[in-house]
Amino acid sequence: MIEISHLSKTFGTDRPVLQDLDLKIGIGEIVTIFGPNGCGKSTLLNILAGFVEPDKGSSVRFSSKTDNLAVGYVFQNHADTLLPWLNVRDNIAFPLRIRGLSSNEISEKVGPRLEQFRLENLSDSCVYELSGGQQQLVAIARAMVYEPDLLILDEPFSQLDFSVARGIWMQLWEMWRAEPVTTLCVSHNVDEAVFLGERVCVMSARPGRVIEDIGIPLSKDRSLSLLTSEDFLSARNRVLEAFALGTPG
Amino acid sequence: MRWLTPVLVPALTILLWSIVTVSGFVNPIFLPTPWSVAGALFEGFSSGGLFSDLAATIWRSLIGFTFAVLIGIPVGLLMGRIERVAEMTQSSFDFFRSIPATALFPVFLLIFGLGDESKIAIVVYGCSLLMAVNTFYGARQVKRSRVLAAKVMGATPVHTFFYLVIPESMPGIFSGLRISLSMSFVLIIVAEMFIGTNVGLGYRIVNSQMVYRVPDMYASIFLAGLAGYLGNKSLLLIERRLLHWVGR
Repeated sequence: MIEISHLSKTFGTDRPVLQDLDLKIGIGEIVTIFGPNGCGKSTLLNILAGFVEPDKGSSVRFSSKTDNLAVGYVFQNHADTLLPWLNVRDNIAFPLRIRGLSSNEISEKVGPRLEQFRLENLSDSCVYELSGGQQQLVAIARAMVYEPDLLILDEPFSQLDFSVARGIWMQLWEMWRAEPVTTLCVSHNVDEAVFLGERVCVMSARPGRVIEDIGIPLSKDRSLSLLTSEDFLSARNRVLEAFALGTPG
Repeated sequence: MRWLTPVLVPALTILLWSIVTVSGFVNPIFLPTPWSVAGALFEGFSSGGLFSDLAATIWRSLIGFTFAVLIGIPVGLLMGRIERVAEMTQSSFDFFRSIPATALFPVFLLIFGLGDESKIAIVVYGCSLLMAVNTFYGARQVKRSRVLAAKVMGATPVHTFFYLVIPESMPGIFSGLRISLSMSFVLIIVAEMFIGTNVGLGYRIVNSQMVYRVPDMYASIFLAGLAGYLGNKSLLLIERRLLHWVGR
C-alpha cells in the first residue's frame, strides 16, 4: 500500500504546485491520474520516484517497505532515456547489470521480457532503429525487468499515434494480468486514463489535489472493444465531469 | 561517377600546377614541376632519409598526443561533470588556452633542453588543452532525463559516470582526438624547424629550403600533409564505427 497524505510542494516561495494531496494505492492496483496541464502530475511522480523532496508536513508511506522501494519509471520522452549505444537486449539488461547480476541471471530475466513484449526479433537491433512504439516497449520492459514495487508511467504514449498507443495498452493489460504490479500512470488522454486504470484520480488545476477518485467498473480482462461499451462511456463521462469541475474556465 | 567528386579538386590542382610550371609562368626555384616533386619523394624514400624523418615526426607527435589524451580526457570529464571543478578552473583554463603553444618554445627549451622532451612537451601542453575542452563540452551534453532514468533504476554516481557520462561524452572526445592529432603533427613539425634536431620532417623542410633543394622541400611538405590527412581519416573511420548512434 502506498499512502500519500497532505502532500504539498511549493517551488520557490510562492509557487504551490501540489496542496494537501491525498492518495492511497493498494498493492497491485493500477491507478491513473488525469488532470489539466500544470496541475502537478509530474511533480507527484517525481516525488514518488525520489527526484523531488515534498514540503514539510507531507507524508508518503509505503506499507511493505519503508525504504529501498524499487521504482520502475517510464518517461514521456522514451527516446531520451534509452541508451542509444546499446542494443535492445542490453538496454533492458541495464538495470540488472548495475545491480551486479551475473550474465546467466541477466539472460534468465531479459529473455522472458523480450518475449513478453514481442521484442525477441529485435533484441540485437540498436534502439534508434526501432519505431516510437517499439522504443516505448523497450522502456517498459526495462522498467519491469527488475520487478519494481511501483511502476510509474508518465504520459508514456503522448508521443505515439493512437493506433500504436492502443496496441501498447493491450500489451500492458496482458502484463498486468500476468504480473500485478502497483502502477501509477499519468495521462492527458481520457480514453487512455479510463482504459488503463482500475481507478482514475482526477486532479484540480494548480495547486493540484485529487478532487475525485473514480472506480472504473471494467474487469481486468480488457479488450479494445470495451472502448464503446456503456460502462466505459459512463466512466469516461464521470471523469470528464470531474475534470470540468476542477478546471475553471 | 560519384567517386570522381573527391579527386576532382586535387586533380585540377595538379593540372594547374603543371601548367604554370611548364609554361614558365612561375620560376621553378619557387615552384618546381609536380613530377620533380614526385621524383624527390621517390628518391627520398629509396635513400631511406625521408622515411626516417617521417618516422621520427610521427613517433614524437604520437608520444605527445598520447600524454595529451591521458591528461585531457580525465580533466575534461571532471570539469564537465563537477560544477565546482569547472568554476575553479574555467578562467585559468581560458587563460592558458589563449597562449599559443608555439609562444612557449623558449620556456620548454629552458626546462627540457634541446632534446625530444621539449618538442613532446609542447605537444602535450597544446593538445591536452584541446582534449580537455572538447571532452568538457562532450560531458556537458549528457541528457538529464537519461541520468534521472538511471538513478531511478538504482544507478550510483559511479555507474552513471561509467555507463552514461563516458559514452555520452564520446562524440566530444572524438572531435578532440581528431583536432589534437592534427595539432600534434603541426606543433611537432614547427618544433623540429626551430628546436635543435637533425631528424624529422620539420627539420627536412627547413634544411631543404636553406640549401635550395626545393623539390625535396615540397616533397616533405606534401608528406606532412598526407600523414596528417591519413591520421584524421583513420580516426574518422574509427569514430563512425564506434559511435554508430551519433546523429541517429
